[in-house]
Amino acid sequence: MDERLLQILPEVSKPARYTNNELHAVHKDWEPLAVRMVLAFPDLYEIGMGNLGLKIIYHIINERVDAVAERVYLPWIDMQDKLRAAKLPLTSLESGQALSKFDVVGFTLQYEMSYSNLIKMLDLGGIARKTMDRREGDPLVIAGGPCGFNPEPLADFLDCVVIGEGEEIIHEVLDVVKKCKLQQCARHDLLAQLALIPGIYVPSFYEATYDKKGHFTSLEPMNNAPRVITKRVVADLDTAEYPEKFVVPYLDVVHDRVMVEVLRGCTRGCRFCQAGMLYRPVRERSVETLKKQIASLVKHTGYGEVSLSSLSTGDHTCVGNLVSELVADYEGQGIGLSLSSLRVDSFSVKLAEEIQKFRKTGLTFAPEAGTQRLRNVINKNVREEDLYQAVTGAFKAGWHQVKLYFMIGLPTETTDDLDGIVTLAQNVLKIGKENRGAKRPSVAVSVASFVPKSHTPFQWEGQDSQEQLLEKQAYLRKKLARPGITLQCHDVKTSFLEGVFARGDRRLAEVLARAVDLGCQFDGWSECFRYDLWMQAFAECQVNPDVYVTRKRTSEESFPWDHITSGVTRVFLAKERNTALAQERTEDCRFHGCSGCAVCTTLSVENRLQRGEQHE
Amino acid sequence: MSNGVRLRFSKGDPVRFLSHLDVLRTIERAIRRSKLPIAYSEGFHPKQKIAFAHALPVGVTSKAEYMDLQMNKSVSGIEVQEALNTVLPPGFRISDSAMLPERTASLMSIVKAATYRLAFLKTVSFNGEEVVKQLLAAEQLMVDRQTKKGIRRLDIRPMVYVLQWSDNCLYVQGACGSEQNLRPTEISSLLTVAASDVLVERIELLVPDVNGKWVTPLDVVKEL
Ligand code: SF4
Repeated sequence: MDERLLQILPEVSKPARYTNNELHAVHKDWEPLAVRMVLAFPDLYEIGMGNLGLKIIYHIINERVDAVAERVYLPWIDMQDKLRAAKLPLTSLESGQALSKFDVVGFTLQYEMSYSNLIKMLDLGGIARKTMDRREGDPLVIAGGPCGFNPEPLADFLDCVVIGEGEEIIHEVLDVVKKCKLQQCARHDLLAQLALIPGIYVPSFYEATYDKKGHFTSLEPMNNAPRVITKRVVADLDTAEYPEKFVVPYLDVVHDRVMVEVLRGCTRGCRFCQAGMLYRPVRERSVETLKKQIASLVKHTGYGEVSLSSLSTGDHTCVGNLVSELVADYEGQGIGLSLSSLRVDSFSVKLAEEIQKFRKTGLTFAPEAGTQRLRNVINKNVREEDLYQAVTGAFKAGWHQVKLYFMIGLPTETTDDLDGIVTLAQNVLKIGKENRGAKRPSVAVSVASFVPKSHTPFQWEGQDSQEQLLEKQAYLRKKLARPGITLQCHDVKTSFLEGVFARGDRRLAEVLARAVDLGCQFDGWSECFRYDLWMQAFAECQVNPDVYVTRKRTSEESFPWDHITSGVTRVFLAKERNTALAQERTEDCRFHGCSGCAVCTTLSVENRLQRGEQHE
Repeated sequence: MSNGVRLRFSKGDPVRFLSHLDVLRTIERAIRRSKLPIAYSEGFHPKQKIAFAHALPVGVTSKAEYMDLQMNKSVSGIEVQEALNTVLPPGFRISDSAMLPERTASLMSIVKAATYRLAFLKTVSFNGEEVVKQLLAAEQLMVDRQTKKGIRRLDIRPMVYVLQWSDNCLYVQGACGSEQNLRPTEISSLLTVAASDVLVERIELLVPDVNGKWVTPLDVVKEL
């Protein structure tokens, strides 16, 4: 390690964030011809190390003999100050090289509130912020992840964006980069060749136009770039590459355990849910593959916990078998299981009972809305009876806390729906009292603010203003103030900014850059979030953030993300929106036939179920 | 003999910045990877039966950390040592071991002193031997101790047992344990050297034997 870095480390908080050398970190020589890529997570080490997608990509790249993958995270503010004072650049963990020395810097875009961090990392790494300012020999700055489906706010900063799942396309990208490195192609040629890869979007090859009112009208491709970029998918998870080892961090990071992805995609069709639309169709891993992956990861990491993760693990058609077999295999070794998400039904409670012998934390259910009417609007297939049955099971089985997740600000919401939240919470508490012995039952209500996302049936909707949300929060706070119920609400300012970027366009680049200059970073951390500075940045750049957030879009208008498709058509989303406003449900295509989102035909894939007990 | 094993291990440069909890997690995972028959505590949340001596501060390396492992069945010290050395991450190494007799007192309760080596990154302006003499001659050595409740003025002279200057390093033997504990950087602060300019290594942990002589925690069990 650099001597100067070693001098700094004793003076910063948690120096182990920056010291590398974790078990199974891959250290490769920098062969002159190999492609060097650094995987950059725009947040703190402890957050980034929990990301499963990056673990997979890290493994895939390092399996290649002609490529190197390393890692970098955004240092905490004390470390940034020290680096700046010592005139040291941000370096990768493994080789300690500055980001500017890599061929490719690959960011993952997991949430909008990390955008300022991305720019901060470019600054600290010694890389020009804007793609137009990068010179021959500078790294290629790419990004992927869920927010890549509307990358427009970051368009000026990213050389290219990977749309969809990375497992296969990463090879194609590296092949092109390698070839161009060998042939010493000009930067522009490299971008032109990348733009030919299906699923790659090169923002600088498009020009945005706006109408007189300042609304976005279109994005015109240049340099023969495709008009539409379609997401990439992996057809079969059983043959997809998956790491046999994870890097095992020393620090206490999020999701610090063995993680296997039991299935990808979700077709339940919740209309607010972007992930549900982006990751279709459903592909389940077989029990056999999962067991193999778990065995290998347990053996190599020594973790004491295995998490079955996915958007809805309880939906795997063999999940019952899988869980019983895993419990039988691992219980004796002191290795526990956890599920990443529970459905609202008694089957899920049974699963939780089987794995959580010690009912330490509460059980969480997400009815999302307070009334059946509103749940129909958002297509959340949960009936009041389901919830009551599930929580009865939970309290009977020994849990004393139930957490309920709701959203406020959903389209068509009225006071009745807020009252519905109150009624559900009160009834759950009542059930708790009836079914618990001595220990006092409690209900923790968590209320998020609905932020309309691109690529969903609600992409046309206006987001509630901060005032409206605050009023609703106050209403709930008043109505829910009683012993046994706690209420936690999301910060409305954060939701506002999230709303700006979720449906933003290229004009936000200036604002982002300005905000970072003013000192904005770690916006997802309440102690760092500076809403005042953000508003100053908007004002200085003469951009009105409200236009992006509260404005209801007309049905004909174009969106800044229309050129990027998840395979789900805009026609289907519009139809879903109308069905929503008619308060009607759309069934899950896994069990009730195709509902016509068009993913399967567009991408030539299909729902791949293991067909176990098959339940809904 | 019980099914207990006492191990001495080193915490080297690559893992210098791990906290005590980080080390504990690392060891727990290594034990699981080694498949050694470690004993677990009873209850809903079974924990491996591992006990350490006094925690090592973040940033300090050590040649002599100790831990006691309780096994489910008898495994020799050498076997444990080898099994762990094949799975421990770089920076950790088990260097010695011994079986524990029945009813051995815990490391925490027996360790009373520690030896540290302070190496200075920049050339120092003082004469090492002189400084040692001065410090030992002082009646009081007042330092500011950072505690959870804030900064406290404290005399550390009674906790300093031996000081020695050799090879441009300062060797300090002082109190270590829950009753009295000397922090190595408190000595360097007396020499007005910044914490970031000293590399500290723990050289040994010490236990008073029946004659009041300092021995190591392994000597204690090997003698029996
Ligand atoms: S195309 Fe049909 S079957 Fe395929 S995911 Fe969409 S709705 Fe389901």
